[in-house]
Amino acid sequence: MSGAAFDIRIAAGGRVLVDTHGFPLEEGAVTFLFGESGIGKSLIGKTLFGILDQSEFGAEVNGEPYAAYRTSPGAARARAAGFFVFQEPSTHLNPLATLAEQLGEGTLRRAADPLGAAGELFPGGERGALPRILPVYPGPHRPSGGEKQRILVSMAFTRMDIALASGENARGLYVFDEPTGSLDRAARDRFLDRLFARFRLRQETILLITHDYGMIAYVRSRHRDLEERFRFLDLTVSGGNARARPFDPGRFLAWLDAQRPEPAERSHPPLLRVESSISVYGRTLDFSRPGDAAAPCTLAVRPGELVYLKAGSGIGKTTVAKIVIGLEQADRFRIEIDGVRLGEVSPRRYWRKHLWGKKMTMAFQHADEALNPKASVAAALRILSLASMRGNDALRTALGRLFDAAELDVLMAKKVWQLSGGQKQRLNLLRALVLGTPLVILDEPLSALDFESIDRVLALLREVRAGGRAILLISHNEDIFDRLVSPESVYMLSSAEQSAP
Amino acid sequence: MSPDAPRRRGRVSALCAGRRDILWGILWVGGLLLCRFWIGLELNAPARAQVVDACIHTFWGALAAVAMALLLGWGTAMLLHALESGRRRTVRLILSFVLNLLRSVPQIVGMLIGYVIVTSLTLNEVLASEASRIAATSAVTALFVFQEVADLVTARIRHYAATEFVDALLVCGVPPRVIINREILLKNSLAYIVQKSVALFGRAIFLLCSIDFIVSVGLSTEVSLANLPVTLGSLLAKMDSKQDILAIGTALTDARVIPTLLFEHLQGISVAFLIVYTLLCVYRIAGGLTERYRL
Repeated sequence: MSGAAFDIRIAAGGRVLVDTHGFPLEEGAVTFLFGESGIGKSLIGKTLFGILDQSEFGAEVNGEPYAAYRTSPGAARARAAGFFVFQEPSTHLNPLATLAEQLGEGTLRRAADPLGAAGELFPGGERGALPRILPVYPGPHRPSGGEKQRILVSMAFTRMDIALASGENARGLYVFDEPTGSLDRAARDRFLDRLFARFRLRQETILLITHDYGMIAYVRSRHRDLEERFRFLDLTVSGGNARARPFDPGRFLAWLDAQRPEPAERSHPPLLRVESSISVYGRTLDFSRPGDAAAPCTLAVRPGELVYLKAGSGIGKTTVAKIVIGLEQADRFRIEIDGVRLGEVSPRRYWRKHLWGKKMTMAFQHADEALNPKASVAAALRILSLASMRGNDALRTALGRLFDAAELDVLMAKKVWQLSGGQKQRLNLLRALVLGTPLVILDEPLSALDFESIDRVLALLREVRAGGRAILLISHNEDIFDRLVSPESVYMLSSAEQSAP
Repeated sequence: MSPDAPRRRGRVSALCAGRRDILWGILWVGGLLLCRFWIGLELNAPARAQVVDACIHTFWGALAAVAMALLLGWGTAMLLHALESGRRRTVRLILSFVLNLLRSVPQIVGMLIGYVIVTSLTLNEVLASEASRIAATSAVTALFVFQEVADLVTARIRHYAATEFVDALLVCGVPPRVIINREILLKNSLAYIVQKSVALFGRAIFLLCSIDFIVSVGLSTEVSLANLPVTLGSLLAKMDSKQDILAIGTALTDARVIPTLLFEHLQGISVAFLIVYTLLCVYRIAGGLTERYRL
């Protein structure tokens, strides 16, 4: 890793995907790379680390063929002394080896305590989870995404510990690709604390790819002493190519400071009530108020209210949302929607006939999966058959709420699979919000979005609330929503294993 | 490696291997035109007219059979899905039983029975026109191949029913029939349906020719195809054609016969060529589509 700035060009299928000049990656510094999903952040990380799939992509680094960069002494050294944490834990972990085996594989075999770093990420009450998951052969749903992500991150930490203990000369390149996507705020903060504790001891080269802008507030408040070693970059798409620009963290912090909770509308009777003690998959899910976990309560959403449901990763937030919307069957649940009581014996067709698209709708967490990839952007909205969506002008107006006016004509004709992750997420949200249902459930609405898009989405949510519609929100972006939602509208979700009969 | 290298590789491989369906489509049409040109030069007018008519009837019959199979298959799949969604298990079970019963009948046997009915209707002048007789034979063919379409449509619906985009559309209030027909079948399954249609076109030609041939050589004295439109299968069964085909066998032992095959035995040879060549090309086109769209 000799150069501090890289010209990177990546192409596939005749399309240039990334064309960035002077991408700064300073040795011994932590580079935060922000930007919406699907515009090439991971590709840049893989290229710099030297693991880009050459059968799929063609690349050049600093004008040289990628193979030459990959095999250059600097890159090879940084790779050998470093670690790459993949975005999707399932693709990184070997399903044919237990997690315990994988924690001591390859270069990690040299670790004095291969489980030590993992233990740091499962502290206190969670420590019991580690012996449970270590003998597991990882699969798509086992252990949970958050647990797998912590195991992966701990591997990188173990690699850092080995370098520190052995006094290796070469500085390693550590790429963390969305390392906190499945973590709640406490777990994310713990990850950052442990990472920077190591960084203070040995300055490796770290590239941290994320769209969690909330990290900025945390590292500014808790790791201010390292500020000189932090670099913030924003990857944006311009003219069809991704380019990295410096990102001013002060801009985000000023914006965050300006966010104020709007008073919750409490005068109307609840539009939605969800009782605690939801029984599903052998677990009981309860709602409570923050700081009062011992007292289960009923979750209530009133017209014009933004209700925020919080929980750690894998607790069951999305499951609750799907039970409420009628897509998931629970063994026991009690909800009341607009005065109508529903439970596990209520027929599914009630939701279809009376609720879906009429009284409630939902924007799913993964926009990639929630949209038909073969549909055009225009068709993705036209299928709603809304009178307000007839004609291209109406469509442009609707899309203009979350997209740049200049890109609308091109955008409308594009197929969903051609959109970036952030564009898909905006379309996914827009589809749910333009329906005009009295209640909208949003599952991780800010995931995959860049700063500008987050601002636009929040403005649209304010508009929706101002129109008297209710929003039930599930999100890991606690830094943002804790400031935006009134405390009386925040609920915690907890889960307990049911005892065997 | 240059960033554009995969692009160049992609183009080359697309030309070489990625579009075999188009290549075989061109070869098929070219072969048919060549055959038409040659029989136009060498075959006498009445025989030529018979070959052309037989070709047209067979292809139209096969096309109609495919259209009917698509309609029947789609209707059956939609009915099965509606019964499944509506939890009408008994009705679904009965329908599945009937479909499986039909599936258990060998296609050739089923079509022979169907031909008896078509011939009977023809003799009773219920099927008065040539078009109605072709349509009737196509319907018989469709009845024994449509379940492949039903299976395909059902599999596509089931595959997508488990995906999140279907749930996302449902909770937006989009009717299930719109999701199935527009989003699943039209936007996500068209390549599968086209590939299946091409394969069924080949199957229909094979079945029509086989049955016409079997019936024309005299399976039973009760069934007469005297009034049914001439097809490639029935033309192949005619005495002249049979002698032409036998000449191929003679050519294997007597090389002097070979030059005469394309001049003196042209009717039978051209009919056999049209059947075999069409089947070859159609199956290659179907295979090419499978390859191109990774079905």
